[in-house]
Amino acid sequence: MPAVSDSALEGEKPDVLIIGGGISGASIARELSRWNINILLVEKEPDLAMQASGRNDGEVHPGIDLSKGSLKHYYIRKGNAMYGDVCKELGVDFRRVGQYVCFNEGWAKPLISLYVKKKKYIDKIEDSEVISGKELLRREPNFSGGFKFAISNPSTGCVCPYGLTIAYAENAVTNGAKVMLNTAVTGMKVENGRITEVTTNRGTVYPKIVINAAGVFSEEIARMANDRFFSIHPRRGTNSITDKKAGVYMHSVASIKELARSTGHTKGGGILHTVHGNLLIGPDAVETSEKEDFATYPESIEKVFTRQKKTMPALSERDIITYFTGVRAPTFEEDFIIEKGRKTENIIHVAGIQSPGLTTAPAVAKDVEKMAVEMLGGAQKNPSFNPVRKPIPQIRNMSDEERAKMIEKNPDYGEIVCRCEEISKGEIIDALNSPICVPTVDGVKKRVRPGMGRCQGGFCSPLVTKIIAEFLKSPLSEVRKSRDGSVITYGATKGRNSDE
Amino acid sequence: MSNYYDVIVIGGGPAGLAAAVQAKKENASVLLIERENRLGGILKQCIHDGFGLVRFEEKLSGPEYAERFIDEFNSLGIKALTLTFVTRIEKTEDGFEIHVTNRSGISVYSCNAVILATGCRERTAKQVFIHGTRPSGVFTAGTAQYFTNILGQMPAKKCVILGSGDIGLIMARRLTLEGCEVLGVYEAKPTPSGLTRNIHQCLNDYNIPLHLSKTVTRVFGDDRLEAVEISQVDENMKPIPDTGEIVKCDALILSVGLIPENELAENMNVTLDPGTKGPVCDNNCMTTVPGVFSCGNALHVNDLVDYVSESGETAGRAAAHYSKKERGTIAVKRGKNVLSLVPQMLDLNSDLGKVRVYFRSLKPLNNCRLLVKCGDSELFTKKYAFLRPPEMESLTVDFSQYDLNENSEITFEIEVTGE
Amino acid sequence: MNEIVCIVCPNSCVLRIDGEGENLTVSGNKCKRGETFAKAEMTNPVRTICTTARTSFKDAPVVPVRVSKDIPKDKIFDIMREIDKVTVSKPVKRGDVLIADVLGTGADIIVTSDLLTIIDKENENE
Repeated sequence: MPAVSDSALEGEKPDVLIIGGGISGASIARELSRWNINILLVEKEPDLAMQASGRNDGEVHPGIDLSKGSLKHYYIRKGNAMYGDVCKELGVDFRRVGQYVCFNEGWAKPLISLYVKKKKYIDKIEDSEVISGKELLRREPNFSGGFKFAISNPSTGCVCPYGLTIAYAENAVTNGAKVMLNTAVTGMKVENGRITEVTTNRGTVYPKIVINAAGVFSEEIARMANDRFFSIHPRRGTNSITDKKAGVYMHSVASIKELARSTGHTKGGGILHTVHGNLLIGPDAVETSEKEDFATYPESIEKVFTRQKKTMPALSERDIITYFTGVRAPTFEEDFIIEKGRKTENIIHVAGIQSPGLTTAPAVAKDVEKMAVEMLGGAQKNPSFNPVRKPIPQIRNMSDEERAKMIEKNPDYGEIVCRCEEISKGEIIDALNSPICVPTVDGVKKRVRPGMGRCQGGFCSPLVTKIIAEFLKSPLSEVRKSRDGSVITYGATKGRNSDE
Repeated sequence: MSNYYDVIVIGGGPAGLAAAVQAKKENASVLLIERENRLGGILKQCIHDGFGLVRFEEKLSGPEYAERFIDEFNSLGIKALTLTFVTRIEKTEDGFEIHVTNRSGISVYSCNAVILATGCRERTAKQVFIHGTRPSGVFTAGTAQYFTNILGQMPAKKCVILGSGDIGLIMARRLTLEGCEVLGVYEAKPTPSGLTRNIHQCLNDYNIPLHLSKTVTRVFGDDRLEAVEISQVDENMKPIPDTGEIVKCDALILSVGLIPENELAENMNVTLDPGTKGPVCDNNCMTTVPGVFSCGNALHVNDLVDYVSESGETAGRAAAHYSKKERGTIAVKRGKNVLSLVPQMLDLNSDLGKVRVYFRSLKPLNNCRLLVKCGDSELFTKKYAFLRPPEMESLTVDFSQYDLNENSEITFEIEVTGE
Repeated sequence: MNEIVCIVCPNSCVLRIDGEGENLTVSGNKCKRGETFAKAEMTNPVRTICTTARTSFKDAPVVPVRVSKDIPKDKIFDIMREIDKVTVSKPVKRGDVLIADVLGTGADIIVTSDLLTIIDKENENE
């Protein structure tokens, strides 16, 4: 629960209340901002994408492994196809890096080739194909030489999942939506099958419709709305990230498929080359009863590492610079729930969003937009809707000429604060001045990356802390890493004798 | 105004300052580039004393030591660009092009020789596999030192220190002086890593316990650190399961090693020595790439800043006279019981009369001797009562007296004599 | 009989001290300074203090200081408290005295960096 408690939202009457600031809530808010309606998105954490949406590998899946009949399958190709345009509009890096699902079992090649042919025909995944072990090595020379063949999925891509979530939300805000962080839904009043009131730690609001995009907590929200017909079964997954130096070992997404020991829904994990240039290894999948158990455990890292080293023997544990854990929010049926309330009429559930939830998000958001507008009735288009979001400039990727021009306009772009990732003071201040301001060390880190390099903030974190303090015009000891209780320093060293 | 300099030094800490001053004294035109806003490097925050015992026979604080060099630097009129970051170095036909960015824009400087005095960074919590949550309150010792001594802020009220290296010991004392409760210093090795006198001045003086063969395995706390889990380790420094004890604290300070910073070197295809994690160098501090020199902590992690200044001077002198003359290098290999050794090459075409050699023993050894061989024949030996890995040794060798040629194989090894 | 480690230089000799009062004999030391140190440790242990003092300069909240000579070990925290009372508001330079003869020990608290002088000059140039 957030620490703040006030009446900042008391009495507000949004047309749409979106509960949850992950990829689902953020993308829906943006699509709804195409309409002249009052949108309020509430998120209980101090920033967007702090749970599953900020703790996954960022893979945009091809969907070749999904079976017809599921909502996952229904949305995957549409979502995948939308990524290029959506990311371009929102100013987010996206790359179709391609993917190789590798097999050691040579005998399975005819079977798999048949499977791939079938999928291509049924699902129109035109570019996927089976390639030989030799061809695989030609394309990815650092892979293990033991693979007999692989499925190649050129439509697979990589995106920064929290970067996209933030971009979606910022574009929604620029187009008139309101985003409130540190805001948790504590209860609802349901009368005659309709939600009439929603209480939060910032006051009571009176929305016309509610969109439940609350991740692992979507079942609690459904229960508050008298409309709980599903349950969430959390599953943890841990990923490791390597130094960018190891990034040269491969350029795509890769995983091993072992037919002999394949289980229903186990995530085998893989290795992928992220948009930032690191390698990401993982995730594993472990059932958990703790919805917010984000701690890491050495066994997860070791297990995943040993498995993935089989794909790429050159990987070394010494390349790892950090690791993190996320918790998936699957339903018991392992499929999405994207539907209007069953007992309560003014709610739309967007729940059970697990992999490939990131890939399907753009397509799901369009459908939910339709459902919500229909539910509201009488909504008019927003004439000033602008789908384009201008991203914070990445100075390090500019040419010398462009860089020089930027510095001439604003010398802060010439002062490098994070030297591992080459991030300037100008970019950090841009992050603090963005449409959704999160003036914490982690908020800045998510948006412009200081602290994500090899020294993990050793050199830059005091400098970033100082810049945030100056921006807030408050003492250094009031700057947080993330949540309210996460202060970094305890005041001046001479505080013992001062009047504090 | 020309952007050409004979020597460009990258890094304005003690190594870079010494290199720039020496190069200037040798009549080279010199430019120094520093990414922070002031010169002095890490010494600005090392406000404790103990610096300069070898060089000046005085016990100076870090700033005092650095400012002696800064004063000389300024009186020689050497140009320095501060708050300036090197984005890339390109090799040209005549030398090197250094591309930089700062608040004035983008500039390119060219030079005949470049000296990399880029220092080192600290090993992180993730690199020693500390698991658990991600609260605030986990600092590497250098970062905690920056908060305390530069920003004047308390990073902790009640802390645990992991690592008995000098930085951890110094911070134990520093934080205690500022009113913090230091619950203990934990060290995964069976012997302490820092200088013995620091164990006494920093821990014993303040009754701070030192626990050996123990390490931190987990951290707890959702927002700010609340506790750490300490486990015993075995002889391979691996945590022993079920030996965890919980210690409540609000800060974990890590002093678990330094790693030389060599991104620029690697981008120029300079060969690195996996033993030192710094460039392979000859007796003039020149790397495997002619015209590229390395000194200070970027070359290898030092214990005494006096040796850092020394290597800076060697590099500065050689860079000032660098003339693209053909080198005749032979390897200097480390043999039995030698953990690291600098220089790793000798240039037979240079003056070998006073070669400064620095080495560390692989493990604590008593009553031993250093044995320097050429092939199978012994060149010379030196006796040592004791050698410890945390205390780097130095010696001056006159290699010119030996009849060395391009087939000579020099080896340094240490054997226990037990006398 | 007492055994202590000498902290004067990196050799860290292990010193043996026998006898008491005026008649102390020291062995194990490689130099004279060790003998002096050992005798002092038994009768009047001394140390140095290196710390920071608060300033009123926005760009340098603290300036490094130290004692000009060894002070009695048991006065360390009292001296720290005296230093904490100071707020430096002038651009002092390396070697300047902040507190003369602190607590009657004969040692001064001196500034160990030109930091404030440099900042003062920077502010002038703006």
